[in-house]
Amino acid sequence: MAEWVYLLHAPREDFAETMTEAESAIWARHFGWLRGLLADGSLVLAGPTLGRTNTGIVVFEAADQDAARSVMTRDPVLRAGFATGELRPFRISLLRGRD
Amino acid sequence: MTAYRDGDRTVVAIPARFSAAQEREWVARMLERLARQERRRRPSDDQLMLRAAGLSERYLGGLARPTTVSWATNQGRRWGSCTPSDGSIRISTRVQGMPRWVIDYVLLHELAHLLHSGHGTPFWALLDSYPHTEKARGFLEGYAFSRELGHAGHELGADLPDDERDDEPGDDSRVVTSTDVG
Repeated sequence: MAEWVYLLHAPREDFAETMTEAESAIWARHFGWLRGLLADGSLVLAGPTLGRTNTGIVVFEAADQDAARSVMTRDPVLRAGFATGELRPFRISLLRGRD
Repeated sequence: MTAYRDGDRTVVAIPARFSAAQEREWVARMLERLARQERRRRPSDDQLMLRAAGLSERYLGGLARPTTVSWATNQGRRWGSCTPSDGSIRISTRVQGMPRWVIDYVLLHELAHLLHSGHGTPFWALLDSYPHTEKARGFLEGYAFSRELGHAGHELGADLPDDERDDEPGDDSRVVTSTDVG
């Protein structure tokens, strides 16, 4: 299964500190969505960069670019237009516990 | 520290620095914790009914009063269904093994349908007070979508932490296996 990463660019600096109620609700849904991918096994890791620029990083498996793109575009925050996404092919070269 | 099922084995990861006595104590403790987590994730029909009653009391002012709540294998793509005329609720066995906050959301969703049939604003307003509604809806979407893509994952719930889990400090650098699956 091919590996992919998508970056989720938050709408502004200090985003984690300044989320509105509507944004918090969408990010809760986003977190649940990722937990669902994790439960089914397609998610490898996810988390935000900390500090002033909060970029979400999602590493996951999908058969091909179309499938990978569909995973990214179904992310609740992208669907709701709250952030922008950037998809790239990825390779997990080293993984603690595996290599 | 973590504990999970791997086929018919149970794997408990504990810090390498633990003594034999600590290992015995923590393996027993982690197995008990795992069993507790599994009971929460795979409640019996009776437990489902009790959970539903508790959720109705807490989030719906006790207004939703189901007559039966049971697991069902015939729900197709639905996570659950209800029949307001006889007060029965069925929850898909696909939900078994999901975190408690997801199971509770599915229960609450069906309970709310005993009060409102559609998916309009009044319906969602009923679920507003449950703090995991959005997260649980996201979970079910993500899980279903991943399945649709044919990822066909591992045994559900095997290594998926509940949010309620109290994590223990320490590095998981030694693995103890046990065939006791409780």
